[in-house]
Amino acid sequence: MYYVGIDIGGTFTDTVVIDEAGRVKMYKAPTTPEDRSIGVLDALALAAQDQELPVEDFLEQTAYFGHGTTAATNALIEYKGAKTGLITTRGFRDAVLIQRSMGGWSGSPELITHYSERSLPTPIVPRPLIREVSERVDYKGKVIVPLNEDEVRRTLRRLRDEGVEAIGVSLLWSFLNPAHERAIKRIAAEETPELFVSLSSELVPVLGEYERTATTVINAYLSPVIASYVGNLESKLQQMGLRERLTIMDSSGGVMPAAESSSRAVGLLSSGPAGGVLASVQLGKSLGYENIITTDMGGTSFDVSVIANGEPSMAKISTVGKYHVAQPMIDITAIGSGGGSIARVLAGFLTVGPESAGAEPGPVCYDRGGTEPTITDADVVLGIIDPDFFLGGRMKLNRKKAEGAIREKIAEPLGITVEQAAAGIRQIADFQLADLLRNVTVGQGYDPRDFVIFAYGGAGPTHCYAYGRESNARAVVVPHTATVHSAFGAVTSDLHQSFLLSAPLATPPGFDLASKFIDAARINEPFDRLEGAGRAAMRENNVADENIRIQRTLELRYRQQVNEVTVPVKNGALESPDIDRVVDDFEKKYEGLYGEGTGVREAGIEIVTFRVDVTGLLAKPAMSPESPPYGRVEDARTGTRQVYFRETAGFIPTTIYLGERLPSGAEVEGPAIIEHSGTTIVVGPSQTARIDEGLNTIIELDYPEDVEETIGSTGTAVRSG
Amino acid sequence: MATAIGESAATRVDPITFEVIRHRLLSITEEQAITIKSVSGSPVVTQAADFNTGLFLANGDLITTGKNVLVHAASLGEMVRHTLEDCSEDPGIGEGDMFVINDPYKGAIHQQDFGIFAPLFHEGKLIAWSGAAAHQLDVGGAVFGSWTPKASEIYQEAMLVPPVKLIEGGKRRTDVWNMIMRMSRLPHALGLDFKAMVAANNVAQRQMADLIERYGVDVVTAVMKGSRALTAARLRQRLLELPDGVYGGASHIDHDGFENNLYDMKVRVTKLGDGMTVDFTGTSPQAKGSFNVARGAMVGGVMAAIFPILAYDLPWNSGVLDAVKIVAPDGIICNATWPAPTSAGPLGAMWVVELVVVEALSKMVGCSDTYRREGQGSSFGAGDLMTCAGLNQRGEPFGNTFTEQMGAGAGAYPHRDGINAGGAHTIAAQQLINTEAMELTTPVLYLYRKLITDTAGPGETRGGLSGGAAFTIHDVNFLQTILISHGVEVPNAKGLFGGYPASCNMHHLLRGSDVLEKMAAGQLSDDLGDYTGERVDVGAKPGEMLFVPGDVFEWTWQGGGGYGDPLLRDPAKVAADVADGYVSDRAAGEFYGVILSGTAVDEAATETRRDEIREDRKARAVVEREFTPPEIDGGASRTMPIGPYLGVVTVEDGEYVSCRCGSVLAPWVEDWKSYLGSIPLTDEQVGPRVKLHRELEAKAYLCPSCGMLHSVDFGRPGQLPLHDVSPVGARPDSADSTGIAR
Repeated sequence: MYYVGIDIGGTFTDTVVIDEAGRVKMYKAPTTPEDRSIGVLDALALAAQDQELPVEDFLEQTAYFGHGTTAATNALIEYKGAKTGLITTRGFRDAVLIQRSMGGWSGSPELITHYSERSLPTPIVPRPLIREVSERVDYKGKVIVPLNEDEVRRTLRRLRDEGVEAIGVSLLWSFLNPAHERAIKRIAAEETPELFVSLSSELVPVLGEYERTATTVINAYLSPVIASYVGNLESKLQQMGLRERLTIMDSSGGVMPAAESSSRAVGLLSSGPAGGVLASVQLGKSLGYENIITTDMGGTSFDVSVIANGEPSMAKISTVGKYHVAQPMIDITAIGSGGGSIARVLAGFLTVGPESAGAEPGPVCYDRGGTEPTITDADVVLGIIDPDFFLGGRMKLNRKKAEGAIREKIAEPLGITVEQAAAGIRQIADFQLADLLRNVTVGQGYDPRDFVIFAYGGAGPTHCYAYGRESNARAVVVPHTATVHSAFGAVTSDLHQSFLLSAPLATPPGFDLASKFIDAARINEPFDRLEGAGRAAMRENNVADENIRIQRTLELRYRQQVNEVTVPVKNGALESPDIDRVVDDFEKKYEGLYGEGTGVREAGIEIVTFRVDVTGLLAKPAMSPESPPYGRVEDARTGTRQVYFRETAGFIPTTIYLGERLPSGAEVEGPAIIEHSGTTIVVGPSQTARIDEGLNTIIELDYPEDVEETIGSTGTAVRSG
Repeated sequence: MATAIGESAATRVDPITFEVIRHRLLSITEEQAITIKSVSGSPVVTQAADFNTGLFLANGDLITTGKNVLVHAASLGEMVRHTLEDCSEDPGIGEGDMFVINDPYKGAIHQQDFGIFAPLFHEGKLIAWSGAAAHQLDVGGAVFGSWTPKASEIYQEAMLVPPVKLIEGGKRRTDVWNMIMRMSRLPHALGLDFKAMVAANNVAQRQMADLIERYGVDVVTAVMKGSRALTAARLRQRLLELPDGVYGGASHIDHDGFENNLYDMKVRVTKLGDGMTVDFTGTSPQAKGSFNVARGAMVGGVMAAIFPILAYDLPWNSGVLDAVKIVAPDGIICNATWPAPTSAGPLGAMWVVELVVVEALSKMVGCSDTYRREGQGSSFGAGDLMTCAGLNQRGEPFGNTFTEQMGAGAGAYPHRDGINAGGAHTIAAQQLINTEAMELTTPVLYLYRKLITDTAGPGETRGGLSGGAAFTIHDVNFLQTILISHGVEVPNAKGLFGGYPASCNMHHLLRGSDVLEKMAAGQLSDDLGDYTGERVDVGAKPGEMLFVPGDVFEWTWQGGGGYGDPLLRDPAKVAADVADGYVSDRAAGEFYGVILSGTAVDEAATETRRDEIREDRKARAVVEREFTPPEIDGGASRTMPIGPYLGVVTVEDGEYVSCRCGSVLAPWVEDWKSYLGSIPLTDEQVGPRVKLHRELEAKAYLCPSCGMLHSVDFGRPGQLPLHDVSPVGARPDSADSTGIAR
């Protein structure tokens, strides 16, 4: 049997196949934007060929098929969703258009300073299709104005007559009292059964009407098109022999069944980057790393996420394009820094990024008309990237042009050599990435010295030895699957879904014991409800009870304060002393994250959100990648070349290895370059790398003695997010 | 970095090390901000982002700052300078010390903005400072929130803390700490923000010490100085690319808290070569009332205007001021002298300082083909604020500040419409609070929060619409409020180059309405006309108001100013605006000359209507000064544009202002606007939601030959036409045209 993971990226459709013995194989086929299923079939053909099987037999023998896709993100960015209407409370139709004032400056950090470049996004629902109905619920969940059902009926019929295909329903305070939203869904089933309806109280029952409404309308907008995309792909694969159903990578920490993605498509946004993070969680488990900073560097962006104590950090609200989505998503910070970032000299000062040459025209060395020197050009000039072995030799790079551009635009204006300029570009870029890693980690209450860095994506392995060292991480790991890491995540992840709701419960200021003011039943009841829904969802997907894992968490904060802290809660019914324990845990964790003396107990505390994470474990073989048949490090050595390192301030002879020939257990002394078909790993001077049993490359960083001691003494992370 | 390659003469640090360290300094500033947000947890700091952090040279020059509330940037440095002045000798500035300040005459913007600063020493020598300032919900004084509508002297407003040592040699001075906390109604919140700022300084001190250990103190300080020099050099370079000229900005503040008096804000920006002078001469003397500001806040307003227009791609630091000379007589509303009250100054004089400098700079870039995209119609031109206090719905004492008024409109740009609810120019990354979040903590029930039709200033590109909101109190018997505003009888959000101003701020109270009965009966409306009750226009500064059940308060704010003549707006866009409900049918016809047939544009009728409007303009226009255009035999060559439709042309040896239609309208050496045709405008002709103060008049200025609208001006009689742009040294009114004694 085979276990297949496929991730469709902008350029390549990546495939990972694991067989029953745990052997891991990787394939890449070009992405076919006009119909992405073609690229998927191409990639599968490669995989089948490698197993020496007809595609039909290969699919028939596929026991699991996980799929990561940018289909939802693309449909949103390209405005190719369904024609969508919105029904909301009278007086509040503009909440989703006003966007809490954030629409103008969201989407790119440059917009924060450059006002003239701001613009509002094209509305997902045009204002004339946002309809208000008479109804009102207050902050207690009490109905102040009853729902006018006749008006709802008229509104639904009119929207249908205007050609609307999907409807989002988002009413004020519906997360506390969903009765009116449910009534609208019931009426829609009677009046307009052909329309897809998404309720905010079902999808994202949390406080905050803008984010709740935006999430709901995006879901309504995307779900019909995702349903047809997934349906099309699944039926093609099934016609060709696949017996299993597809699962789709979502952005919250696992996969969801294909059927579900057609009503919860908003969960697919940014599922690609999430796949890489989940792959890192899995790999971290097998390597014994609990605290990981993942870095995914491609041509145009650098994505960072933090895994602490084995759990990826989650964001409650994420920005997708210029919209704000309130779905728990793996928290990924992206900056526009990649191989294509442009270096410039302005007024005698050298800067790198944030402008990027992108994929077209790309760096100068691509020879596609790019004229601005980029990080990749610097890598080529310094001898780090072999111009004849880029993408395994599939693309020849023009070193001369890269050199010319750096000479003319950087070296000459600054009066330095081309190599000094190129090394300078690299150093500035690497150190900026290290600054970002530091800010992201510190921002979540952690110290980078307690973390290892996982580096993947095409450019990550080329730069990680430097940004890893500069951010004082413990070590750097380049995963075996570095160039197809998201696909690896799609095949190794479990079914997962978060169920949450906001039901604010508060103590008064100056309380002594929380349990005097918060009745345990008011905590147990929502948890039981959420867990019931979660278990039912898993059973529906044929997950046996013993394979269901439940994690309950509460989000709490001090009243009048905005920092919310997530506290795990034991399963089963809580009693009064448990509530006081939860509050104690919250206070300890708060001060751990934000510093001693930052708690404001006297203001009272507030439980904001209940969350139940449900995981359905899927049976997968244990990984045991096949070590290459050579068995000796020497067999992987292909020669030496002159490479310029900042650390040595000049070219030095550097050993070159062919990555796919390096056996597990191999030790590589820096300076060294390990060339893989999709990336180039750099081991810095006086660093060493070893290839572990899983064929991952582990770079030991070269800290002076005193720094190592510091690392040794800090141990594992004490804080958890 | 071992190799010393390509050292720049300016910094004596190689450009690579320079950039690495410069980025590290920014990263440290960011970490300061992260620390403040974490520790503080206050909605003002974390959501309204009303705080800022910075690193400074030993003399207080700002080197790095966060992208939060822009006006803080200058004030931070001023506070450091005053600390140096007041404390160097006694009590002395030593290692491990930190100083606290909220005195507006010692650099603070107003008393609510507390700053805490720490000197950084290396081997006993003061080499730098770190610091932070954050707005506080309450700093004591006569009223909750400390925004004091009826103060005639600063003593009446809030506690005043000149530079005082809060931490001595790493140890907190508990007596000083307690004294300050004792004066606030919210000591917990104040204490937490103090802890946050102290923690941010500790982070900066640690990180800076690491940086110095690694690179050496000389290199780090050289980079700090160089970073400032980088911004200064590049701003000067940009100024060189812009046309020399004198660019004007003018606005007004209505109501001083006691009387509905009108105050003038006037700026003249003279750009010559690579420098500019920002001159506030002609601005009204300081007021009895709390909207004045002292010098630090004025400089903050100037910097905040410069950053996004001229320095959008530069590191933001005090280097922007190197090329700028600020001239302001003592004792005017934006450079007030002790003891003028200032508690509401950030929404008053400082707000309008930024507004008029944005206006003048927008005219400057509008005269450049390269930079015209950076110029804008005005955004939300008059700060508006309401605090509330009493018992919350749980019966607990509470206080809060409404911040939804930041959902006002932003100005139009030549290439795009303004951002709806884009908000204040001074807040770089604004976030409004959700209605639900507000209702959770504050005993109110909103009837609506929405975009308001016809609040945007018409133009070829339209301003952004303003939001508006109405609420009634809920589950309590009363709510005590204080409203502080202006711009109720001044449409401060002016248009540019023929664009119209946006709506005025409006505040209405419906006393004793039947809203509760109606809702109980299942009737809900977002039109206050559907409820009974006594409708009161409460104006700009009603002072304290008590709301009781059944009262409904409604406020709408200024939109964004338009850009260019609205008759040139693409009729399809006007039709879309009408379909969206952003522009009324009536405004579409009157301001844009667009006639709709159903939802589609009636092209023929629109063309006819637009021609009629132009003809009507020409017919009604009065040309005050006659001008005989020169013979254009050898042709005219344009030397620079003045906005989208006018330009300076050279005909033989003379320079003239000419319209896009080809008519030469006026000589360029004089106050050329007085040669244009002018039409007096009523309030309604200025805008459907505009009310002009009794001392103001409005006029449209246009091309007498083609009817193109070039400017919509308002001011006191005698101030019109307003000065937009003129050649350096040729401005006619060296005498002050406001008639206000200085």
